[in-house]
Amino acid sequence: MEKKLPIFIFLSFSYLTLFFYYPIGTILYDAFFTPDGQFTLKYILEIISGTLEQRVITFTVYQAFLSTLLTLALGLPGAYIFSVYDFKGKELLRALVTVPFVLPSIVVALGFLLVFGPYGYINQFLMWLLGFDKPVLILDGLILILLAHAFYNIPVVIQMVSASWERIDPAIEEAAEILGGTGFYKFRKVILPQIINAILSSALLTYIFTFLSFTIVITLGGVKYRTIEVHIYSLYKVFLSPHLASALAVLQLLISLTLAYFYTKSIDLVVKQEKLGRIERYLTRKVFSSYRELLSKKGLGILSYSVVLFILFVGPLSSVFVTSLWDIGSKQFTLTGYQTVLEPRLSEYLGTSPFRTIVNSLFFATLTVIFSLVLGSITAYLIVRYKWPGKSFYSALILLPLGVSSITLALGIIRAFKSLSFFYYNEWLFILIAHVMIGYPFAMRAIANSLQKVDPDLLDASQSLGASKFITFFYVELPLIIPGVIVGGIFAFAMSIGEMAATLFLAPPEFSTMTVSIYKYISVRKYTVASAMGSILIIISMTAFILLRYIGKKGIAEGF
Amino acid sequence: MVSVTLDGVTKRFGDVVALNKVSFTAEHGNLVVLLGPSGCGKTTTLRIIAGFINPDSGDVLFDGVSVLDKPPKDRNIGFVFQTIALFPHMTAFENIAFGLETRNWEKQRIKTRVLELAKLFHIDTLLDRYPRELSVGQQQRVAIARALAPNPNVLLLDEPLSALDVNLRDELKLEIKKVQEKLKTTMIYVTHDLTEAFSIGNKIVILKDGEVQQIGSPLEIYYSPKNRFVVDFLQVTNMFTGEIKEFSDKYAVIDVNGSTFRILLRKPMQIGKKITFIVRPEDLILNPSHANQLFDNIFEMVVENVDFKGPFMEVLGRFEDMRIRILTTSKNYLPKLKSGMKINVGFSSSTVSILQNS
Repeated sequence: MEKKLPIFIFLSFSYLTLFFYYPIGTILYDAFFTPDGQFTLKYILEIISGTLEQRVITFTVYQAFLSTLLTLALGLPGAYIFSVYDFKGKELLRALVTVPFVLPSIVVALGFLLVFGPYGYINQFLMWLLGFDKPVLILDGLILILLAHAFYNIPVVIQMVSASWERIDPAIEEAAEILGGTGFYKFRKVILPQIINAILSSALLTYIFTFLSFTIVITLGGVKYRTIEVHIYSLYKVFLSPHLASALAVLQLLISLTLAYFYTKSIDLVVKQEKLGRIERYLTRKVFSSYRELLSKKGLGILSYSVVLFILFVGPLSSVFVTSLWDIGSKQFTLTGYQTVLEPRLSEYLGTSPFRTIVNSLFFATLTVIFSLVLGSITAYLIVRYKWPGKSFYSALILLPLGVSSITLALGIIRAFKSLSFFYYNEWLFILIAHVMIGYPFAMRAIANSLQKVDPDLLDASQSLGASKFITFFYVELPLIIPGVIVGGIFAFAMSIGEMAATLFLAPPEFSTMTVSIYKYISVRKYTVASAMGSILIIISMTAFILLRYIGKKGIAEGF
Repeated sequence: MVSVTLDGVTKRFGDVVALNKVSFTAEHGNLVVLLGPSGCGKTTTLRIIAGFINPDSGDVLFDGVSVLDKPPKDRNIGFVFQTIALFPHMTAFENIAFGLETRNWEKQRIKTRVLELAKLFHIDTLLDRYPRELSVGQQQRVAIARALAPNPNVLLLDEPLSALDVNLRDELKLEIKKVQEKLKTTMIYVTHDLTEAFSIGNKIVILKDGEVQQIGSPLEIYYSPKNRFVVDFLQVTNMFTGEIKEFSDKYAVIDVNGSTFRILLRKPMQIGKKITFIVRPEDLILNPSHANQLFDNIFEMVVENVDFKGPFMEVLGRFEDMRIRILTTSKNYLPKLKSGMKINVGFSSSTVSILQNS
C-alpha cells in the first residue's frame, strides 16, 4: 500500500525524540562528560573498578541466570502439559498462569514476603506447630527474589513454548512413533528441534526481564542484594552522583540492548519455524476423562504440577487479601488497613495521604491510556499501513524504549528536564512522560496486531461500493480494530497503574502512587495497610485482566 | 508383507458410533481402498489398524494373529499422512532414514536403502533438501519413501493425494500403483474420491456412518451396487422403483407410477413385488430412433440443465419426480438442448441393474 505520508509522523517523531532520545542522550553525556563539559572516562572506569559495583554487576548477572533456570524448570513442564493434554480445569489453569501479565510487581513482592518472609504465613505456621517464638525458616532474600521472578516469567515460558509446540502437526509425532521413534527418542529427535528456538527465546526474554528487575529486588533483597537497576537508583538518590549513575546506566543499557538484539534474532527464527509447521491441529489431544486416567502416572504428574502452580500463583495473592483484614502482630481481624488507606489524612511515611496516592494512580493511568492510544495508533498506522524510505530504521527506533529500563528512563528524564523551570514546577509531568513511554509500545503492539488482521480487500471492497475513505475508516476499519484499541488501552492502563520504579524515582510525595505507597508501607513493616492498598490494586488490575481476557479472547500473548 | 483382517471392529467416541462391526480383509500384496464420504469412519479404521486408537470390540489380525496388544511401533507398518507430516527440520534423506535409524541399521545399509527408494520415486537428486524446499508432490513422495523404507508389513495411506493439485494427483496415483505392483506390499488406501478409488484399488470397501456398505472390485461395485447409498455415491442417479406386472422369459414389465418399462431379470421374481432398478447415466440415450430395437424403453424427460464438459456432455433432467442424469459423447444436441424442453430418452432392457436390497 503506497500512500502519502501523513503529517502526524512528525508528531510521533518529535515525541520520541523529545521524551526518549533526548533523555537517553543526556545520560550518555553525563556518563562521558564532567559537569564543566570535559570528555572523560573516569566515571565509567570508576564503575568498572569499584568493588561494590563489581559485586552488584556479578550479582545481577548471576541472579538473572538462576531466575531463568528456575523459570524454565517450572515453566517447561507447563508448556508440555498445555500443548499435549486436555483435561478438566485446563482453561482455569491457563487463565491463572496469565495473571502475572497484569499484576503489579510490588504486589507480587508483598505477596511473597507475606508467604515466605521471616514473619510470613509459612513461618507463622511452623512457629505455631513447633512452639517457637522466633521464625523457624529464614529464607535468604535471593530465594525470595528467584521465586518471585519465576512467578513473573513462568507465563512467558509457557506461552511462548506451547505456542510453538502446539503448531507441530500431531501426524508428525505419529509418523515418528510408527517408524519406531518413541518416548524420549521422539522428543529429542523430532519435538525438541522444533521448539528449541522458542525455548531459547523465552529464556532470553526471562533473562532480560530479571536482569533489569527493580521492584522485586529492592523489596525482597534487603540491604544484601541489589541489581544494577537498584544501584543506579541509589547512586542517584542516596550517593547523589548523577554521573556515576549515568555511567552504570550506560553499561546496563549496553548489556540489555545486546541481549534484546539476540532476542529479536531468536524470535525471527521462531517465526520462521512456526511458518513451517501447520497451524491447526486436526486431531484432538489426549483427554483425561475418567478418574482412572487421572490416577495414572501422567495424570498424577499433571495434577501435582497444577497444585504447585496453584500454590505459587494463588498463595501470595490470597495472603495479600488475608493480611489486609488480619493483623499479623496481634493475630486479630482488623479493618484499620482499609480505614488508613481510605482516609484522606496525611501519612508520615508517605508525605501525603494514602487516599491521595489512589487518586494519583487513577489520574496517571487515565492520562497514560489517552496519550498511549493516540501515540500508539499513529505509530501503528505508520508501520502497518504506510511504506516509506527509512521505515525499517523508524521501526527499530520505536522499539528501543522496550529495551531500556524504567530507572534509566527516569534518570534520563530527570536529568534532561529538571533544570527547566516549567518542569520544576510541574514535576508530575515527569511521571506521565515516563508512564506513556512505558505503556505506549504495548498499546501500539495491540493496535498494530489488529490493523494487520484487517483484510485489505475489505477496504478496497468498501471503496468499490462507493464509500469514501472517511466512511470506510469509520464503518469498516474502526469496528474491526476497536478490540485491538481497547486491549491496547487496558495494557497501557495496567502498565501505568502497576509501575513503580520510575515513579519512585521521579515522584514528589504529593504525586506518588499506590505502588510507591505500598513499597513505603512495606519498608516500615506496616503489612496490614500495605495489603489493604495492595488488595485495592489487585482488584483494579484483575478487573483490567478480566476485561482483557474477555475482549482479546485469543489470549494475551499477542501483547508481547 | 502380511494380510490384514478386521473382524467386527466397533469404536465409539462418546455417544457417536464411529465404526460398527467393520470386517474386511486386505490379502497379501493387495491394494484395498476404503472409500466413503467424510465422517464415514475410514480414517478411524486406518488409525485402528495402525494402533493409534484401540477398538471397543472386535479384532485386528495380521496374518491371522491379533495385534491389538502391540503399540504402533511394534506392528511394523508404514503410514502416509494426509498432512504429509515430514519432519521439517530434517532433509529428505534424514526423513527417509529415520525409521531405519530407530531400527539401528548400519550407516552404509541405510544409505543404500534410502537411495534405492529415492530412485524408485525419482527423488534421488533431492535428498539433501529440506521439506520446505520441495514441492508438495515431492514432499509426498519423500513421505511414501519414508514409510516404505523399513519394509513394512502393510502400508497405510490416509488420503495421500488430498494435499496435491489435481494434475499432480493423477501422476502420483499412477506411481503409487506402479510401486505397489512392483513391491507387492499390502496397502490400505483411504480416499473419498471415487475415481481415485476405482483407478487404484484391486478391492474397494465402501463405508458409510461406520458401517460397511459393500466390498468388491471396482467392476463389481460399479455394475452391481448393493444399495441406494452406493448408487448415490457412484452418482448413478437414475433410480426407478416400481411393481412387477409381468414376468416371462427373463424379461419383466415394471410399472413405475403408471409408466411401464421392460427390463432384463436374471432371476425370476414374484409378480406384484416392488423392485428398484438403476440405469447408468452413460446407458441413457437422448432421442433414440423408434426403429432401433436396442432401446426398448423410452420415456419423456424435462431437461433442467445441460453441462458441456469437453469430451462429454452431462444432461440433468426430471422424469415424473425422479432425477435423471445422462452422460453422452454425442454433441449433436448441444445447440438444441435447452432447459425446460422435453426430450425422449431411451435405454436398453439389458443395461439395467437391480438393487439387491431394494
